[in-house]
Amino acid sequence: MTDIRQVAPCTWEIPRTFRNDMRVNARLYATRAMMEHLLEERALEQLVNTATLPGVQEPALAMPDIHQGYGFPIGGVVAVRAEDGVISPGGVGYDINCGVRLLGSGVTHSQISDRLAGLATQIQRDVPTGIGRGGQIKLSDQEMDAVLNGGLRWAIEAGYASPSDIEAVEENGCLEVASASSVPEQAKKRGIDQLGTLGAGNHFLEVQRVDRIYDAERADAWGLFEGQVTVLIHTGSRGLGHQTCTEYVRRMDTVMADYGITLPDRELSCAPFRSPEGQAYFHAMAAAANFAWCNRQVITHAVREAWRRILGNAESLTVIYDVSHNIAKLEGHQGVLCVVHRKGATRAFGPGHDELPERFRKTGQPVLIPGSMGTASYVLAGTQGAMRESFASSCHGAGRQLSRRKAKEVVAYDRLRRELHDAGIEVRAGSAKGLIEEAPEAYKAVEDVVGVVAETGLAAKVARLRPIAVIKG
Amino acid sequence: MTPLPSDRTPDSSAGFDLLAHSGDVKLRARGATLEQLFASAAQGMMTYLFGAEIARIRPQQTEEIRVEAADREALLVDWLSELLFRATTHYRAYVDFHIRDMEERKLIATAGVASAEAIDDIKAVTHHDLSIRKRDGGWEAIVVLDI
Repeated sequence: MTDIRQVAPCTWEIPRTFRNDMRVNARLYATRAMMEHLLEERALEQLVNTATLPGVQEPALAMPDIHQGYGFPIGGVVAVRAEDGVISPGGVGYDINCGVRLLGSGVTHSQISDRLAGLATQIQRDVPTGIGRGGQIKLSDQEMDAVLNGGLRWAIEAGYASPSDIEAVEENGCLEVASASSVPEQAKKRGIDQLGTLGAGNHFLEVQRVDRIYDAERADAWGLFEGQVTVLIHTGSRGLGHQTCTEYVRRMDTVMADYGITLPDRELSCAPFRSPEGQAYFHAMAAAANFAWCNRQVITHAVREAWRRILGNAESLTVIYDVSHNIAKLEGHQGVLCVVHRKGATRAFGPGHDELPERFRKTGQPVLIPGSMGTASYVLAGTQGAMRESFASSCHGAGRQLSRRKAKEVVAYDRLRRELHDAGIEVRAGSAKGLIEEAPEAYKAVEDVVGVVAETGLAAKVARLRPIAVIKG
Repeated sequence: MTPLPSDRTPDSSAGFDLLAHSGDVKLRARGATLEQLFASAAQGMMTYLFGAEIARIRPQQTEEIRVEAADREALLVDWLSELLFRATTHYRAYVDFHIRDMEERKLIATAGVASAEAIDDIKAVTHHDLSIRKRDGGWEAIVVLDI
């Protein structure tokens, strides 16, 4: 790809002249070393493909954790004009509103180190993880619709959330455009017993300690301090989201030709945002997003119960923030109303944004970047730079570099457990496979990814978190 | 659901491979006929979900599956998606696939059903790198499963 030009130390551009069907330039954030590796992957071709979407705004973007996805690359940020552009389920991903929530405590690691093993065991007991298992909540049809339509408003009524939780969640945990009637019945059936479950694969729950503070003022404003114990929850909309995306990819595939749309990749299937199909998907996606917020909230409730059981009733966990990294939002950028698809990318509203609640208006919003298992996670802040340059977007984590099968070949279970133990990490994994496939060597280095977004001014480092316990399926 | 006839023999004898991919699984299925191809693909997906032991399952009941789609490739995706939905929602393994009636854009099939515990998870069946083509006197399909 000799047409790629470097426009800044960590910014690269593929001009629209590279291919006839590109409507805008494509741009990505990466170091030179990352670029050299990327040239072997399909991810760049996928980024170029996103620049062909009707209504796409300049530029089609990818974050430094870019890697191959379905249709859109993971790490893709594609803003499309709402008026005459398209919406694409592939630009959100199968796991609608996969995201991350950070909880903060009032204690330090040293204060609870003697009870950490017990806490990890209790959390593993109380939060269903792993494959093919439902949770303790089985929703009725009416409850399912209330979750889908109301998001965290349902969670408050059902006793899983408080109003102060809601303020710390993107969109207050409810996209108002949601419509349960747009969610396919099969999706509701698939999700009926999955509320409050973590899932498997790269979904996890970590107990952490704040290892380093980079920005004392923001850390203080958000309730973070050095040595503090935090909890990170990474999960999404489970089978309900997967089924919703599956169904709408199918539906849009059948109507695209009617709208005169042809695209280089079937997984880009889309419909005009203002069309009945486009609106139906938008409302269904919003409903699935609400399900995911409720999922993370019910898990929060279970973690709080475990916390109190082991550490006593005086201790509590507050929601620091909750971000989505697979979602499509209606946002204004440079005076144009856009559908911003973020697939493996996180919103990063900077200081002063009027959609942020008061407590984040001065600081900008927190951006939560989970590391791969056993490595550091980061808390960043959204910036004015992101508002100007990247449709207010940042990275979401580290991308895979080894397939699950390859990880099983090269990673020895006993060695991995020993390494995690030697690093002082309590491990509660439901299966050896679940641990091996998520070994740190299976992923790129999150420090490099975070380094790029900090260097390019898309987000600013606030704190680094290190795991002290990992719970997964 | 109806009892499985004792003289029913499965079509899915032609085989499949499950290949590693960075964040997902590539299913490569083969069949002498399109019916056998679709049956092999289903068997491959079920093997990924429930393990090779399901080849030894003796189901006691059958279910009918009807699918319609825009074209043959979409039919394969929708066929596997329907099976995935049923398997993950009802915690069942599907085996012994018999494609009774198949056209370019629709099929009617029956499959044996047994309760089983999944050993792995599939989020969705995708169109990524999807292909169905003639090969070596038969058919071959590639389907990527999002895990």
